[in-house]
Amino acid sequence: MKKKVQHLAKPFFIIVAVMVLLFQSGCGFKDIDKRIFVLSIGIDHTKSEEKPFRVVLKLAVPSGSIKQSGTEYTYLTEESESISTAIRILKSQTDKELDFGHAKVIVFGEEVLHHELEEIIDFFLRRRDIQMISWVGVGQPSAESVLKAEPESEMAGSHALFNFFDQNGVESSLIVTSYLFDFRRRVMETGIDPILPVLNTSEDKKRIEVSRAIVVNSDKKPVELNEKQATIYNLMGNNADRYDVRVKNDDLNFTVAIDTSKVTFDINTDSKQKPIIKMDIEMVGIIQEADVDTDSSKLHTYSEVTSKTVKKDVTEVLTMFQEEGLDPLGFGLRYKATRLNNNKRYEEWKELYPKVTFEVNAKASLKSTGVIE
Amino acid sequence: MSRYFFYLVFVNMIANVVASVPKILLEKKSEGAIASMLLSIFLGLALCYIVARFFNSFPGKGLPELTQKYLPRWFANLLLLFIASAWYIAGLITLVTYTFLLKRFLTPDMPLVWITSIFLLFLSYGVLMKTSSVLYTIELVLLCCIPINVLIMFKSYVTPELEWDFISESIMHAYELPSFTALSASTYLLVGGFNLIIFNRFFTKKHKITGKQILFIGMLGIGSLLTTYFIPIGMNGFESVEMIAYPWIITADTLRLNLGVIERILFVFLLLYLAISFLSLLIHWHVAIELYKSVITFKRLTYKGKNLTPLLFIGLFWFGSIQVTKYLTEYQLTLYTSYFYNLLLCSLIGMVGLFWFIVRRAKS
Amino acid sequence: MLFKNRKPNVEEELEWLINELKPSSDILHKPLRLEDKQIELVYIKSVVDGAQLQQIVIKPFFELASEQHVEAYLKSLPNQQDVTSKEQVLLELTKGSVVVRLKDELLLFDIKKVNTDTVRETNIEPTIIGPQYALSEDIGTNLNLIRQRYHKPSLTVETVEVGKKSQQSLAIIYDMEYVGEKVLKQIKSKIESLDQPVIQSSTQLQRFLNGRKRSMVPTMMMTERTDRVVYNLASGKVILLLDGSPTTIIAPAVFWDFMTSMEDNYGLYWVTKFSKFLRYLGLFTSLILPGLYVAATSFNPEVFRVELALSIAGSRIGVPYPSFVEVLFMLIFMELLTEASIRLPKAVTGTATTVGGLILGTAATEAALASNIIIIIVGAVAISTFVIPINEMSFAIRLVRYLLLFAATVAGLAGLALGLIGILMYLVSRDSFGQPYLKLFFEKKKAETATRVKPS
Repeated sequence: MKKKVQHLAKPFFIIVAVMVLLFQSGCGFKDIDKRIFVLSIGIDHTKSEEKPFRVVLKLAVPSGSIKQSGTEYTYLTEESESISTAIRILKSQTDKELDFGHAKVIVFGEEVLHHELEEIIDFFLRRRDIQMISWVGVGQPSAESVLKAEPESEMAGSHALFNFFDQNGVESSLIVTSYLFDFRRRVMETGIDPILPVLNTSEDKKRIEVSRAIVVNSDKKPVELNEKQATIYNLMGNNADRYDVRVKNDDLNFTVAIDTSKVTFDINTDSKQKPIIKMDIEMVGIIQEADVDTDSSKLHTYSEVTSKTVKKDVTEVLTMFQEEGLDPLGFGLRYKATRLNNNKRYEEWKELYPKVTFEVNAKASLKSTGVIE
Repeated sequence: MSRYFFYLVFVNMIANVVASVPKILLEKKSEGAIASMLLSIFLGLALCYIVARFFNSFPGKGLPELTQKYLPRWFANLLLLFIASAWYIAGLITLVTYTFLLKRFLTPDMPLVWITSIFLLFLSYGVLMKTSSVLYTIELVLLCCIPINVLIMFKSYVTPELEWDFISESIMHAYELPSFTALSASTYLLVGGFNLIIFNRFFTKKHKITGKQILFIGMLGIGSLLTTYFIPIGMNGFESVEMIAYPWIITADTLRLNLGVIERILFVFLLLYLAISFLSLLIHWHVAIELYKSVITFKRLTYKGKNLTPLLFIGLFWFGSIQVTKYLTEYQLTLYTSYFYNLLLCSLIGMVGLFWFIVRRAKS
Repeated sequence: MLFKNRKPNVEEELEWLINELKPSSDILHKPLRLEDKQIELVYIKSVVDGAQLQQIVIKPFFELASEQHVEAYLKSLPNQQDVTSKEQVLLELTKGSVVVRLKDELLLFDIKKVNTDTVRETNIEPTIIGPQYALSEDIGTNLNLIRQRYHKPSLTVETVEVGKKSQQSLAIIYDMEYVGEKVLKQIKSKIESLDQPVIQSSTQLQRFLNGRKRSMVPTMMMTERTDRVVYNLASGKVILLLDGSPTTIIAPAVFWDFMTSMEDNYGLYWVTKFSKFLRYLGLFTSLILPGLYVAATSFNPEVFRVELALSIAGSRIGVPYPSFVEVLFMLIFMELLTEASIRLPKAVTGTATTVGGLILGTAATEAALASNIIIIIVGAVAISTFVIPINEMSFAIRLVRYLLLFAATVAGLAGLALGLIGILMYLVSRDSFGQPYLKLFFEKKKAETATRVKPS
C-alpha cells in the first residue's frame, strides 16, 4: 500500500500543478491585451469648488499592425474632488485595466500650480506604478489641450511628448526637462525652487511648442521665464551643452554655437552685509552665423565680445531671480550645504538673498569661425 | 581566508541595502547617522576580525560542536537555541521586507501569503542542502549579480541628476553624536562573518588572515555604507528623505538607462535584490536550521532512514513567516527591525565574550 | 594451459562443446588430416572470418612439414587466447573464436568476423576543425582508436562482461596516474552490481549506472569523439566503452563539461571565448525566454519599453487563450517537430520541418491562435537549444524550460527569478560520483578537483 501511495505521488503533484495553472486567475495574471496603457496624464484645475480636478488620460490603443496603421490614441476625461476618485471612475469607463506603468509624461494645467500642488504631488508619489522618471510639465492653455494635440510628426508608436523630453529625440537648449523625482525634491526641500517646462499648443492642436519654463515658488506666484531666460537657466544649471549666443555689437553681429560649457558658482558671505555669489562660466564653441566677414585671426576678440554678452545676459537673469525671490539654481541649498548645520541656515539665507550681489565671470573661447571664414 | 568567507560577508553587506538599514539611517539623519556609520566601520571590522580569527583556530568546527564540548550541556543548548532564533528572525526580517516590496512594486495583485509561500517553497529546498552546496549556490548567484550591482551603483554616482549639494548638506550634520540605533543598524552590514558559526564546518583548512583582506572588507564596507546612505539623499533631497518608505527602491527608480533593454533600472534592481535577498535568507536560515538540528533531533521521527526533524522545523518556519507577514505593518516592521538590530549588536558583543571563554577552555 | 596434463579430458571437452552448441546449424566441427598431421577445428561459421581462418590456420597446416611444425606455428600466432575453463571457451566460441584441437590440447584463436568495425564520421557532435572520425561499433577497433591517440603506459584497460544474458564486453579505461581512486572504485562497484539481462547501448548502461531512479540532468557524459575521450582521460576521468556501441561514457561529468565543445581547445583564444559566450547565452535564452514572455505580457508589461508593450499587445489581439497556454501550445508543437525530425528518415525530415515550421507557424498567426511575437520566441528558443553541444544536456534543458514557464505563470518575473535560482540549487546539490555537479572553479582548479588526487 505504501508503495502504491508513492507511486501516485508524482502524477498527483503534476495534476495539482496543472490545476494551479488553470485556476490561477485571481493572482495578478492579466494578459497584456486586457490592459490599456496610459501614456500621459494631464491634470487641470476646474473653477468649481466641489470638483476641482479634471483628469485627462491619454491612452494608446494597440493595433494589429503597428507598421501600417500606427498607434491610435484615445482620451479619457473626468472631473472629481480628488485624482484617485477620478481615476477610479475612469477605470469603470474602460473595458480594460488601466495600466499606469508606461505613463511617462505628467502635464499640469497652469492653474494647478496656484492651488493644490502638494496634494497632487503626493498622489503621484504614493502610487507605486507612476515612474519617478516621468517628465513633468505645465500645459498651456490647459493640460488637456496639450495631451490632445497630435503633431503631424507623431509617428506610429512614438509619442511626441516623449520625444520632446527624451534626450534621444530632441536636443534643444530651449527645453527645460524636469523629472518627477526632481520636481518632488525641489518642492519638498528648502533652498531650491521647482522649475517646469511650459508646453504650448496652437489652436488647431497640430503643434506643441516647448520653449518657456515656469518657476514655482511655494509662497509666491509662479513666474514664467521667456525663451531666452529658459535657455540661460539651462546654461547655468549645466543642463544643456548646446547653447546659442546672439552677439549684437555696434559693428559686429554674429551668433555663436556653444557646444561645451561648464558653470560653477560659489557663495561668499564673509561680510554679512554684502554677500557675493560668484559665478564662473566656461564655454567653448564656434561661430555659426555672422553678417560680416569673419577673420580667423580675430577669434580672440570675438571670444571677448561673446563673453561680455553672456555675462550681461546671465547677470540680467540672476537679478531677475533675485528680485522675484526665486531660486531655481539652488543658491540657498548651496549655502546650507557649505556651512555646518545650526537648524536655522535657511532663515539666514532668506535674509541674505535679497542683499546678494552677483559677480559673473564668463569666459568663452571660440575655436573656429565655422567651415568658412 | 577562503573566498567563501568573503561571500558570506558580502551578501550581508549588499542585501541590507533594500532592507531597513537605509531607512533607519535616514531617520537618524540629524541625530548622528554619519558619526554612527564611521564608528560602525571600526566596530564591524573588529567583530569581523575576531570571528574569523576565532573560527580559524578551530578548522571544520561550527559553534554547536564547540559549545557542546566546552560548556555545560544545558547551557550550550539554551545558548544555541537563542542564537538560532536570532538568525531565524534576521532571515524573517529579510523575507517580510522583500515580500512587502514585491507586493508594492512587482506583483501588486498577488496576495501577500502567496508571495511569501513562493519564497518559502524555494527556500525550503535551499536551506536543507548541504553546507557546501549552499556556499556554491551563493557563489554562483553572487557572481551573476555583482556586475549588475556594480553597474547600478556606478550609474547612480555618475548620473547628472545626483545633486551633490544635498549630500553635502547632510554631511553638515557630521558633528552630531552617534546614536545607538544608527550604530547597530550600520554595524549589521559588516557582521556577515558571524555566519561562520555554522559555515565554519566547511572550512576544514587553516587559512591566513592578512591585513589586506581585512582592509578589503573595510573598503567595501565603507563603500556600501556610503552608497546606502548618501545616494538616496543625493537623489531625493535631504529634508524630506525620511518620508519615503523604501528609500532605495525610489532611488533606483530615479535612474534611467536611456538605451538599455529595460529602461527603468527599478526592475533590474528589484530582480537583482530578489536574488540577493534570497541568498541572505538562505544563509541565515541554513544557519538557523543547522543550529536547531544540533540541539533538537527526534530520533523516532524517521522515515526510510531519513530523519524528518529538519522538515518539522521547516514547517514551523513556514507557519511563523506566514503569520508574521499577515500581522506586521510596514511601520512596525521598521520599528521592530531597529529593536532587533540593537539587540543583535549586544548579543554579538556578548558572543565575543563567549569566544574568549571557549579559547581559554580549549587551551587549558 | 590448464588442460595440458589432463589428456583424456580433451575428447570429452570437445564433445561437450559441440553438444552445447549442437542445435545451431552454423556450428562446424572439422577434422583436418594429412599424412601424419592431424588437427580438429570447432567454430561457429557465422561469427568467424572464413578467409582469415583459411589464411592463418588451414593453409599453413597443409604446407607445414610435420605436426611439430604445425604446433610451433600455431602457438606462435598472435591471436591465440588463454583457455581457463570450458565455459569460457564456450563463451569465446560464441564471440567468434576458433577451437583447435592439437594432439591433447585445446587451443583457442580469435578469428572474429566483425562487420561493425568501420569507423564512422562524427555525426552527433560534429565540429569544423579537429578530428572528423568518431568511433566504430566494435570494441577492438575503438580501443585501437583510443590507444592510438593516447600513448601513455599508464593507460589502463580493464574488460568486464555486463548483461547477464548478452554478456557484452565492457572496457573500463582510465589513466592510472591521474584517475581518482574513489571515483574508480565507485564506478566499478556500480558495474558489478548491475543486474540487467541485456544491455545494448551505452545510453542504457548510463541509465542503469545512474543510481537515482529519477533524474533531470545527466551526470555522465556520452560522446562519440575520440578527442573528447582523450581529453577526459588526461584529466583523470574514467571512460566506459561497451562493445557494439559507437559512443563512450565519461564519468564523472559535471555541468561545465556539457557546455564544452571540443573545438574550444582548437580555435583562437578570443574566438573560442566568444563561441563559449554564445553557448551560454543560448542556454539562458532557451531557458528563460518562454517564461519571460509570460511574465512580461501577463504580469509586468511595464518592465520593457512602451513600444514593445504596445507591439506585443497589438500582436496578441484576437488570441483567445491566456499567454501561457499560447506559449505552451507553440512550444509543444516545436518539440513535436524536433522529435519528428529526429525519428524520420533523412529524406523526409526537410519536408517535416518546412510543413511544421513555416506553414504551421504562419497559419497559427494568421488564424490568431498565436501572436507574431511568440512565433519569434519559439523560433529563437529552438535555435538556442541546438547551440548546446551535448545532446543530453539540451534534452534536459528542454525539460527545465517548462518548469521555468510554470514558475513564471504562477508568479511573474519574481517567479521566474526564483525558479532560476531553484534550478541552480538543484544542480548545485547534485553530484556526479562524488564530484559537485555545479561549482565554480578559479585558477586553482587542480586543488579543487577531487579527481586529480595524484597531480603529475
